[in-house]
Amino acid sequence: MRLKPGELLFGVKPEILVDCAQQLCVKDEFDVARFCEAIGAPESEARCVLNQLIGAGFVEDRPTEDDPFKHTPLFRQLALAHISEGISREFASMLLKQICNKAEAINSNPKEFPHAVECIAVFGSYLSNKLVLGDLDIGVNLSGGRKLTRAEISKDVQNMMQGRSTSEDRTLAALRLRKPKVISVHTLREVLSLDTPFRLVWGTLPT
Amino acid sequence: MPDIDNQFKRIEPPLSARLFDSFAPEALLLPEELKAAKRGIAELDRYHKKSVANDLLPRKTRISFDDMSDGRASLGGKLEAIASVALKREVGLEKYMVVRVDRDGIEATQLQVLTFGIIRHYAGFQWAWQLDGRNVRADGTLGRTRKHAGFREAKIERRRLDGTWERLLPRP
Repeated sequence: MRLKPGELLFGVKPEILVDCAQQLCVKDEFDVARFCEAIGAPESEARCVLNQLIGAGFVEDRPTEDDPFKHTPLFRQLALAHISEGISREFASMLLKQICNKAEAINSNPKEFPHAVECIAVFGSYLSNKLVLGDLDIGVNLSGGRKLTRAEISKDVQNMMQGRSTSEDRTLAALRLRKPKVISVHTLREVLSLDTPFRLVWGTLPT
Repeated sequence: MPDIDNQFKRIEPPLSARLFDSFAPEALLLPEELKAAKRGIAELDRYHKKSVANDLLPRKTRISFDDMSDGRASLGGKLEAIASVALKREVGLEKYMVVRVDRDGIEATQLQVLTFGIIRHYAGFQWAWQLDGRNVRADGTLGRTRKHAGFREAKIERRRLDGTWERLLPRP
């Protein structure tokens, strides 16, 4: 799902609505007070938005007043929505070429990037007929590369414990081409688990 | 002959042009609320004195922390009820609102209001409103860190759902 910045949805700023959905998606159910807290408005204003969300199928209507509200898959999509103007298909194709070039550059520089890129697959809105895409979703599989030294392994473990990026994260970040709002990098395992169609654009699929 | 009295008379700017508005609890509370708040604050003062005296007692004779906390929570609850009703009526400030409190000489605080309170102002003889809640991140999303703001004179703005800010003024 893509929302345009500045374009109100149910009379709410997209950033506020997405933040609200993200807070409420942590649990399966919520009540009116929790909704008010998540959206940041008193009940008199939040009620109106909640009714519109129910009407549009984002939230399931509750059978009785005492029951909690439940969110639908549409609401979970809202929580993951991108707020951007979108990118053109030509720009996305150009980015894809740059990502493939970057993958070759990574594999030819094992000193800086110890993990080699095995394959890159594209999925999501790029495979649709849309002229304007939300973002460019790619799935990457890292495999092979050079053997990590003992010092590098201990540094990776230390970084992981402290919530910093490991050498694997740095390789994936390099494929993002410093455009985190435009390119979403996922692992190939995530793409396969989503059971969504994808197209291999570089390398070979792991056996 | 120049009118000396009028020459030195302080000219009050219109309310909308003032940088900081006066939200003095003593002025906004109704007489019965004022009386209840006065009683509540006095009880809180007594509680604090009792709490300090309790800490000085030998451990075996000391009142447990949980028992002391229960007493404080019930006192705070009474003041919260008074503050939430008065602020809603006089200022239009309600629970769950995202507000920006800008006070003279202090950095503006942004928070989502979750509880209200009335506290003693640092001067001791005056009161101030206390807002407790959670922080608002730089990108406008709501955080988890606790945030609070006490004010008597301030410029208060609330965030509407469309993302615009509306100034809250004490009702004339």
